[in-house]
Amino acid sequence: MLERISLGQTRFSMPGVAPDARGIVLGKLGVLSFPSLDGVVSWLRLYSDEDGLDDLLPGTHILRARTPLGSRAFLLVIPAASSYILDRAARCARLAGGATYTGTSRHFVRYRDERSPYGYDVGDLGGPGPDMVLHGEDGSIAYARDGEVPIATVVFRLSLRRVPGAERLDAEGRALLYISVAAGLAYGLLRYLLRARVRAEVATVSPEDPSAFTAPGEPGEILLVRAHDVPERLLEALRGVPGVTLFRPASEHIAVEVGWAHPVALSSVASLFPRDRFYLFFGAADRLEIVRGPIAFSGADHLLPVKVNAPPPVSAAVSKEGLPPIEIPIRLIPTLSPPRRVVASLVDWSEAARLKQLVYVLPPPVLRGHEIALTDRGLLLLCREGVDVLPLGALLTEAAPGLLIPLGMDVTPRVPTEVLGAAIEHQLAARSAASASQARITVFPHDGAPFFVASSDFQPLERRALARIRVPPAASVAEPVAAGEPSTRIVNDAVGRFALWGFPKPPSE
Amino acid sequence: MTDLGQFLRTFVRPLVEGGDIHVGEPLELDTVLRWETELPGDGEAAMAIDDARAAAAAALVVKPPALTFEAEELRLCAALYDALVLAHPASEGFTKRRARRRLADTAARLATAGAPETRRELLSRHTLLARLYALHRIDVHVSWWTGRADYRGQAPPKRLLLWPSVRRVREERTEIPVTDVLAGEARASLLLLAAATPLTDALALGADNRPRFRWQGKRAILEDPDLARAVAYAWLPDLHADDALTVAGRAAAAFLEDWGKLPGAEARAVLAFFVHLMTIVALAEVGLPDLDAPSPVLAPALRDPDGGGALLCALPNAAARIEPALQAPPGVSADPRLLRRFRAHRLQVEKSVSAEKLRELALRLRTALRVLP
Repeated sequence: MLERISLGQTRFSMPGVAPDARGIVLGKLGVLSFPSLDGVVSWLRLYSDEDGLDDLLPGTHILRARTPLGSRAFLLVIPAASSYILDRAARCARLAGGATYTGTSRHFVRYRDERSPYGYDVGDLGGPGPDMVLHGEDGSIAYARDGEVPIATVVFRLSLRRVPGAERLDAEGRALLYISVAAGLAYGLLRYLLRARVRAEVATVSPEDPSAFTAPGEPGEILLVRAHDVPERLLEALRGVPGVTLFRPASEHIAVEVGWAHPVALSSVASLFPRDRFYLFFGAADRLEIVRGPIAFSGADHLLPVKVNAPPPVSAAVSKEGLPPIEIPIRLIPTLSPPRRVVASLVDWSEAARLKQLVYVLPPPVLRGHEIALTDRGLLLLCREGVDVLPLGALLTEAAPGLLIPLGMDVTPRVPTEVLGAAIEHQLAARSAASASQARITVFPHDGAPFFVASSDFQPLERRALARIRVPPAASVAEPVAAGEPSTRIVNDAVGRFALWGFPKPPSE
Repeated sequence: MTDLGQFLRTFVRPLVEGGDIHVGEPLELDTVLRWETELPGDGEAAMAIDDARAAAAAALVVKPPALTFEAEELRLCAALYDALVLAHPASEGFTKRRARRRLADTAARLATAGAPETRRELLSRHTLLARLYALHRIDVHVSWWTGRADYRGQAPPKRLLLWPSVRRVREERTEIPVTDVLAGEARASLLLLAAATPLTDALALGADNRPRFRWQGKRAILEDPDLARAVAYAWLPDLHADDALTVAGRAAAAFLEDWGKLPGAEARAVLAFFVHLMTIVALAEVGLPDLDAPSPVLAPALRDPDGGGALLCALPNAAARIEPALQAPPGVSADPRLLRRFRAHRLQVEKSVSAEKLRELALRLRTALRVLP
């Protein structure tokens, strides 16, 4: 039978309990009773989420117990360092469907609740019994110890749970990732990572307990990659690749598969994980790989293959004389490479009338950026940067500064633009030789030889298009044109003499 | 008049769009009440009226509310109509004085409307009566060799104008503003209509012929940024003109007269509006090469220290004496050039208006704003 304890009470029938500074009755231990192991797991999940379990773990045991009637229970024994800890443990136990007791050795009394804020005492302890007696409201239950379940076993054997949306990592999450790769994929993955300029380190690790299906002699090693600042697009590509598993570090030597989470907050039970081991929690495969550590990682870029040219270079004698000149003609060839921006258009003289019509039709902002040069090869229409060229004639793109080639064509051989520019010799007339240094636009048309136009020959399209406008003077008129707001004039219509006759008085409100 | 469609066509539509508004037989209150149930009456006229009002509202605010001709608008138009009937020549005469009094009572009853509270109400009444102060009547005085005749708002008969040289016919046309037309018994209706549409009253402050401007009932305008902006632009039409601050000065003078009659919060809002106007004046001059030079806009107004323009210029200076937060709108200090120009204006006012006058102004302002010393 439980008795409620009042504030200031110092004498108790219950052995091994004493009031703490708040007056709450507390033993050295707390016992959380659960009907099944699920309750213990739920309690671990709840408590680890709120507070660290590391302080409690050295004195914590999970006991399998049995009553004299044969019913089983799981008793979680924790050290009751303070009533604050036991308060939190009791609250979590209540949520997980358990009950909380406190005591020191054999007898444990129900921990305080709302009805008795300072705890309970026991009226009658009863005779000597089995290992442990829990005194509750409904009576005292004696438990015989049936065995012990190590907490590490419970934590290690729990299956990871999938967290929807956790596959997408933010920049902080992608700062450091572990990737386990099957041996056959290792080289390809490393090449892929290094090509994407991801800083990666690798180590070959072998699990402590190899799979039972591993054939004798089979190495069973996995390549563990430590990657820094992995881009999101790379993660997208790697996600779901068989043989490649991505891990997020939960602590320095624990990693959990990306997209999954351990039911218990692993950071709060870090003391269960020795630091000389590396723990990889696989979610989809539902297994735990324990690797002997610490792992020494090496730079992945050193693994790239280096090709060595077998024949040594032979010095060749260079003769400047007596050899025929090597000249490779520049030609235009169709290309499938992405088209460059159209910057100019060569309009044949036969289409000059259509160009004139376009000038009439198009709005001024479209025409504004265009310049035109009239040549014997056609009308060369050039548009400044940021302006779309008029859709007429042969469209030209800029292969190099000042070098225009037809759209969809490319210059062969492909040489750097400065080499190409140096190879172009402009045939200057005598009169323009003096201004040889001025800029030119060189055009390689579809047909015929290339030609060039001096930049000074270009004029704004509007100016070239407009004919001379003769403006006659406007004759001034004597009378100003009336305009403005219409006036509002009161016009009194003709009404009879008796318009107001019989006008009624307005009714009073 | 008993036909609603005719009333809309011949009176309301020209009142809104501009043109000749025709005044004839008086409108009884019962007729107006009956018309309220017959609205919109002539659909074409009602649509044209709504379109004209929407166009007028669009000139003031970016997103004008939907305005439809409803019972309240009908009553205000009927009030104006009956007030104008009082000035009709057929309504004159000793024998009609009782009927005239009844007609004046009816017009006043119809013109009585509560102060508008919302933007829609303000715009609805303004777009209806925007031309109230532009209304005028053409009176014709015809004299001939044997006699003379006056025609008020009516065209003289053609027979009187025949053979002008032989009969020595002289025709004199005089434009009579609405304030003169609606004098005597109709005056009360005009004042009620002016009070019913405070936005019109404020925007038409520059009109030559209009009743005295009062600040009462203008709170809703100051609370609406778009409408307050429209009023500010109407009061500062051309800052290059010599009389740039004349219209706003009238409002400041009206503020001086209405001191003590406005609630403290309303008086504070009006004062803030004036300070804002002066900031606009300073803003218009931030492009000047010398930002510390005396302002050519303020100078003509400050020549008359007792005028409304000088009062307007002095209000920010007086406000600074009672509460620093009132001396400039928020954000002025963010623009160094504007702040410098605004300070140059205040310095110019300090030099032109005596310190005693500014102190007295601040004292009166403190009383008006209910600020405890």
